[in-house]
Amino acid sequence: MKAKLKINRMWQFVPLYFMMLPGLIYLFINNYIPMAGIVVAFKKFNVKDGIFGSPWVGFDNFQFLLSTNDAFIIIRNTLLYNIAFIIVNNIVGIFLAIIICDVLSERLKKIYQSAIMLPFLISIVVVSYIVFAFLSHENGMLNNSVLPIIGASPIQWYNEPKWWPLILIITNCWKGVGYGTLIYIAGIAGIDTSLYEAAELDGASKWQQIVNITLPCLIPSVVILLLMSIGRIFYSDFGLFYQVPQNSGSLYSVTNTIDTYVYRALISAGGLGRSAAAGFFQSIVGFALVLTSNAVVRKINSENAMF
Amino acid sequence: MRKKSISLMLALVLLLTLLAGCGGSSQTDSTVNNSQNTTEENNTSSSGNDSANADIDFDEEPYEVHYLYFVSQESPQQSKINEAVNELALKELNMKVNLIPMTFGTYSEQISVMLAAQEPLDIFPAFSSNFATYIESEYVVNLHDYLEYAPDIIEIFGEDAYAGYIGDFLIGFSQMKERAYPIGLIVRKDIFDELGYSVDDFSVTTDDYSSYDQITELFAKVKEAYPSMTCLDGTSIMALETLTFVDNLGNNFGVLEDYGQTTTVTNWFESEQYKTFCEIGQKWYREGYTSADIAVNQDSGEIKLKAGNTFSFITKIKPNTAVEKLAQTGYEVEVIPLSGAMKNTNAVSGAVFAIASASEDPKKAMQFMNWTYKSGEFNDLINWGIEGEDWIVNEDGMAAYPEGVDANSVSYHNDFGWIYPNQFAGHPWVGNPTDIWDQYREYNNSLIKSKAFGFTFDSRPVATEEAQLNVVYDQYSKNLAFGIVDDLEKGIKEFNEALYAAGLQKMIDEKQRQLDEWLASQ
Repeated sequence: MKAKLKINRMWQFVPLYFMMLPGLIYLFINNYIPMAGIVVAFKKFNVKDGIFGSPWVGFDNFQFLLSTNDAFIIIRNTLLYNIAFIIVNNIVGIFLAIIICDVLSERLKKIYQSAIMLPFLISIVVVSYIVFAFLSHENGMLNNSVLPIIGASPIQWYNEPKWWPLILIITNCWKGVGYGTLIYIAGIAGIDTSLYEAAELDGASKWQQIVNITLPCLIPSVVILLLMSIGRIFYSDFGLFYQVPQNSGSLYSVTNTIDTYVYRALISAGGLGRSAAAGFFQSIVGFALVLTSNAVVRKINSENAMF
Repeated sequence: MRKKSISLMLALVLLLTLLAGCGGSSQTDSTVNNSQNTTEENNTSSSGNDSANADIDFDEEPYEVHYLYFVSQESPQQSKINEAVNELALKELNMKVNLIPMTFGTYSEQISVMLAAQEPLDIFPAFSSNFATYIESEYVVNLHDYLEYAPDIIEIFGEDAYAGYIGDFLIGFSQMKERAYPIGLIVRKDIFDELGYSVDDFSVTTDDYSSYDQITELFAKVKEAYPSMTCLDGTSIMALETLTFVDNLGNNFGVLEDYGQTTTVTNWFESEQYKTFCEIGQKWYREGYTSADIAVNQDSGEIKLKAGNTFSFITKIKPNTAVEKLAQTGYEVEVIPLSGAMKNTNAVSGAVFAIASASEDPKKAMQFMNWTYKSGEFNDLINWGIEGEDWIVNEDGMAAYPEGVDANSVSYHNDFGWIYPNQFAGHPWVGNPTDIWDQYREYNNSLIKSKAFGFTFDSRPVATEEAQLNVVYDQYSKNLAFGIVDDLEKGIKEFNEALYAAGLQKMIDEKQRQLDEWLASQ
């Protein structure tokens, strides 16, 4: 009798497993099987011998990436930008989510949510031209309208490296903040409103409510987004660092990342092995970082850890 | 209960669509196996007739040639063109043709994927920057083994047929076109005439750099008359044209200066010529003749001229440049040459037609390639389209639009003769002088021949250095050439220091060594 109940209960879930099956098969074929190709990073690839027949060259491909003069610059740029993006995008995202959640009109709330998501969907190439409209030396808005108002002389934006960390962080925030904001809005919407009522009765100010109720309840969402971002900390948005600065040579010291370096160096010399080595480096480091940071989070508060 | 059974059925449907995909791929596998079997049969039968004659056997199954070529844009007529070429090829060669048209924009990404995936491909255009990679990755066939099947190509090209050799590997054959890359200033004819100039007023030459002042004066006059117009825009200027003033032996690092009239490999970026060109660029920038954004501009000179607010741009020229630019920009132009014209290996074999290693029968592919160079009909078909519909032969023997058709309404039109096998075999387009092919031949014969003509540098021993040097070049070249930097001398010095740090000396030594070896064997 007990066994029949158990099977009955399990039978309920079979349709669910069936629905999961196509996705799982796709995931397996698209994400797990190609992992075998990771060996290309250690080989001198040529198409006649294919992936498994090409000769092994050990760590030679990695030497190219790590022993070049620019290795320090590209790794530094990639890391620092990603850290800045994580911090800025999360702070602005939470701020915007709190503001949007407090809007009274449901209709306006939906409009704001859609509007904030829109830049995320625009191609980065289009964004690079929008930025160009601002920063163009001849016709740009900054040089022609804004700077004269405050009395400064026109700046050659695409020639001055010192402005670009700021420009790129602002551009990336404008484009990417919508994604996190929507998740935070969902998180805030899930907070029990009776907590806020109780806090008001106790005489807490708006700011105190935010610090003591909203932020702690958002911590699980923040941690998950953070762990996912850390996993991609050695990747960069190629379009952001190549297209937006219009591939200007004088900005290389602040816009060169691992992805743009690999693209520039290998655009003529081919060498699938070398680009595979760069990708391998990025993913291995990301993987190690995800594991470590998840372990750290688990130590602090085991509910918030991803796994 | 009904809901449950419906959801179960939907799940099964999803699953089955997945499996349907799997079934399809195994079918294609079997067709590939079949065609491979037939080719093997053909090989065994034709090896019997395999004399130096290379006769076409009209009794066997037609071989399908996959021919990749450039088009200016995708055309709705493509299948018709393919049919017409098919008919022609079946009649003359007993071969079927699968034309694979491709635009320049998509070429570089698609070609590497196609080659890596070993998709069915027989003939495709390859560029010299990739030769070493293609040979190393075994993407291409050594045509040296199939020369006997290309008698017409050898006849048409003469010694230039062998310009595609890298060591003892013949990678492909060039196209019948101009054989040099001189540069010129393309100016708008209306403003040019208005200010009272004519092309004969200008004689700019590298023997006397002060002759470039003539251009500076021209810009000054234009700026006076039209203050809001940009005198010079686009993506090019003298110091960026590394194919024009020197024989760059395949890449920009270590060249033979003075149009290749020396056999010592030097660094062009340290030369007086390079410094002078940068200084001229800087002068033009400081005087406001060049656009303020020119160093980051990605739009070509043609696009800028078409937009209407630009007076001139610099680009590579050939005998009928003015006609080409009129079609591309809508403005009538004059061409002022800014350099001499040098013939080097790269000018001839910068782009070649190669046979892919994915080809099932390279011998047949070579026979087809030979035919594409010989057949005027083939060249006219892929260039101008279907005779009678997209073009007609006018009374001067030139190709022209038929009644009622023009550049906007024609369905297939390329004007890509410079990247097709043999435009000289077909009809020239109206607007060109009627003897344009003779003019090209005369022009080609009048070129300064580089001392290293016929030598192709094998960059594989220094591939790492080449990659790093390219990064340095990308970083500094534009700002120096357009004169955007404040201190030119310091900028050039920094540039050269970075080049040497990236391995320039090793590249120069390797080039010199290979060049000396080749010279000794001549």
